[in-house]
Amino acid sequence: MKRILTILLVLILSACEAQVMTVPVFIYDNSDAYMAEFETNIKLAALSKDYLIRSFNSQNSQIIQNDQIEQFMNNDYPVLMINPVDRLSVYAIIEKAKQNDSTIIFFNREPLPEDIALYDKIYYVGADAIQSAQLQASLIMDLFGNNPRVLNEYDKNGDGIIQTVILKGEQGHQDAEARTKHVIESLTSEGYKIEVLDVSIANWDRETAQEQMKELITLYGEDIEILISNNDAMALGAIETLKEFKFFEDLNLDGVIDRAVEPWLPVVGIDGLEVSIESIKQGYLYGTIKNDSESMADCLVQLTEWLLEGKPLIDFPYKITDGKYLWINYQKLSLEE
Amino acid sequence: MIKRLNDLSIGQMIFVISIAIVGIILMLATVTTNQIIFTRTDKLIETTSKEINKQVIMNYENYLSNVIDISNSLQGYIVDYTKDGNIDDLNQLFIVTTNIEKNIRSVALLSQDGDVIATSINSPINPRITDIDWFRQAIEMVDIHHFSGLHTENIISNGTDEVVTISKYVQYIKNGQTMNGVLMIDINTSNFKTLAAQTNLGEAGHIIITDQMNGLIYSSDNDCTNSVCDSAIIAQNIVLGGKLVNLSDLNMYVNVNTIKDTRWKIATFINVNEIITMKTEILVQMIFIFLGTLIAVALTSLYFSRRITNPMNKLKKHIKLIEQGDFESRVDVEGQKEVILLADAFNNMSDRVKELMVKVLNEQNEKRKTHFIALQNQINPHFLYNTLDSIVALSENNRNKDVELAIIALSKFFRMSISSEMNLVELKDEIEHIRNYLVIQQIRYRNAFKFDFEIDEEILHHKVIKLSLQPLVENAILHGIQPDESFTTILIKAYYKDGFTYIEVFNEGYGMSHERIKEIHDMIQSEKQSSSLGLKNVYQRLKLYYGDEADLYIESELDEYTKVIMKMPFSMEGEL
Repeated sequence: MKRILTILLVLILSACEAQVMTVPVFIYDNSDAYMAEFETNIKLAALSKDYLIRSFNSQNSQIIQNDQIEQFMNNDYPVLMINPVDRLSVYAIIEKAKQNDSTIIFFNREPLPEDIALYDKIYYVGADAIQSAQLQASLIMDLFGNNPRVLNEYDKNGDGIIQTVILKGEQGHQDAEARTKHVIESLTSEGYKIEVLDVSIANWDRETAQEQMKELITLYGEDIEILISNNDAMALGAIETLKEFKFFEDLNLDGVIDRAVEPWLPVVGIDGLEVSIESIKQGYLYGTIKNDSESMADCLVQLTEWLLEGKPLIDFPYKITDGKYLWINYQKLSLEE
Repeated sequence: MIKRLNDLSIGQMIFVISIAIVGIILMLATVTTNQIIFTRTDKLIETTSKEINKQVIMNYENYLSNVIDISNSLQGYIVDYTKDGNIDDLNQLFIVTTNIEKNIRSVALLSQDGDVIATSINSPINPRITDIDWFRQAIEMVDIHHFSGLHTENIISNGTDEVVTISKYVQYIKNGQTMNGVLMIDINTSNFKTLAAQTNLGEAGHIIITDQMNGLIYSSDNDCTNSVCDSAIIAQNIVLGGKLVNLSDLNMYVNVNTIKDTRWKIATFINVNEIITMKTEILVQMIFIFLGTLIAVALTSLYFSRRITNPMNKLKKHIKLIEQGDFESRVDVEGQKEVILLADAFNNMSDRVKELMVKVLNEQNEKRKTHFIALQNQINPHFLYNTLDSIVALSENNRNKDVELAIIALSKFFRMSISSEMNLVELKDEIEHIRNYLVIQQIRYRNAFKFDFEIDEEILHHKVIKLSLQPLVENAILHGIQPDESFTTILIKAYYKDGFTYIEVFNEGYGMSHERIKEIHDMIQSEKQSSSLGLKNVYQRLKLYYGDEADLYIESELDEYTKVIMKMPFSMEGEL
């Protein structure tokens, strides 16, 4: 009897020892193409690591996410990766983590600084929305010749002012507001004169942008010198409509637009989706800012490994700002880049 | 363990085993059933409570996100309208908004210095507006909507109604310049309360809403009026998630969750007292059933074990009595069929034992009596007188040699008769004994007969009944000697045939008629006591020692001979 018990105990213990550490990942919404890609990158990056990734789709509901997170707030899961649904609700999750002594790495949706300050074991991996706007502005400057006083041929009416239409994400959305505000501010601070013909809210959505573009063309038509979009999806939707209205035309039917000889209207996006890169190669989309989910995933996975192993973060390969923020740079993508 | 079990009586064994088996099975059944019921109900409580909590939150989120949407739309219009200087249109838009959306009490756009840019309100605005929290927060943190707690309307100086203020930093255009301002929307609190009341949270069930600093925004429970009331403390400790708690002696399932886009947490307190009480009731009932069954089993097994062990104990006592020699008492039991059969068999056995004992006793008595008679026959005083007379006569005739012979024979004869062996002697001893007898008789009857032995050498050591030959030989002498004292012969033969030892005593003489033989046979075989005849005594002893197989019979031929034959089963053993 005693021997059987001992054997059982040994089996149980060895089973526990053999168990691999699991790190749960909570994605705010998997139907977001960018986040789906992000999730895949995290899983790929974690393949070489000693722990397992278990991901959860929070279906764009903070209630669902709270429920999911609550189940993993225990000693078996010392590190959690969370892409929050509602950044304002995050303080409750942070308090819960504090109560449970869990470490949380938030990513791609930045909690309020006052919430991050609530607890030591909180990290944020993401990209700075302002930087994306600055880089987008830089792409625009490249297009217009990088000289604010003398714009090149893309200033179609030659008035020295860039006439633009902006496709904005959700009204009131942090990123939408920041991108819209800072792309204009960056251009004006560099001395460019810019006239915003219209700011059209298309809720980040491709179809909505496609519809709204029709209205914008009838209102402003040839006056538009550049179309600035808060993200790629809306940019690509707008391009569809622009094709329809012959702002893009593949005259020689070679499947590629040659902007020097064929009709072309500059459109810039942000995100750097695979389809956007395709569009750039085909000569439609002028450029985009890559929100580098590959690097972010790599940073997340490495940070998790270091935290699990308890290594001091002083030697961590990515730069850590204020002991909590790991900023991943955006990258400009265009034919020139 | 097994050894200890063996020490138990059958009754205790039946009791212990049946209690153990039933107890263990019942225990397992009760525990697993309870486990299943409890986990299921716990799970049910949890999922139901979470679902209700979700519903409540969705109600609030819908309600509040509607206001946020309106705010976002208004922000768009603010930029458009102020760019063109259409302040009147903006005022109009604000008024229309309050008209369409009945929850919205007032809308105002204020400059960062607290001046009114546009408003839906007719009354004068509070001049100290920049000191109010919701205004300051909007300026401090520009990118989110701020939700105030429930408060008395303070956009105007003399407000009386309770409102919630939603404030947001906005930009507007004044003279071509981008300006900073605050958009505020006051909403009526009646809907707040209706939303809480709409959901059935059970008796004393309630909701509380707190801000990120755990300050109390709203409570639907009249007992909870500040951030240190029991409900608020419970919610604060849970932080996020569900838990079963006890609040004012009621079991409540609490869910704490966040409300999207606000900095608020909402805790729903759902009364699950009934389910918890039911759980306890089920547990109590199960324990009762468990105990009841166990007692029933205990009583039944006790009853049946008694039915078996009580008669057994009676039998045991009875066996003790028999041990002490009491064969008279009877076992009288009630119980199962087998036990009654056992008792009956036992009674029969004790009857039989008694019978056999009586028989053995009788036989012993008989043997002693017949042996005594045989002995009596030997030391018949006439025989001794006659023999002594003969010896005297011999002596008178100076036949000293014969006197010597006679005295030696007489001495041997008596020594053998009274020897310590009671019942059986070896054939050779018996023959020796009878030879002495014959020697004595020959002297007495002045050699009126002669005798001879034909003994099978091989059976000299066979056991025969002591003193059985003498009466036969005595008879042979009596009946063999002719009145004319002519010479007669006595022949004694002993042989073995078919498992029997035969001894024949043969004498010449008149012989006997068949009638006489039959008469003698009848006489010796009859039960009637008759000490007179030596033959009868021998016959009785044969039957006593050997049973029916042994026999004594006479063969005779008139005027020729008489032969008495003794037949005994072969035996080399000692005493029977």
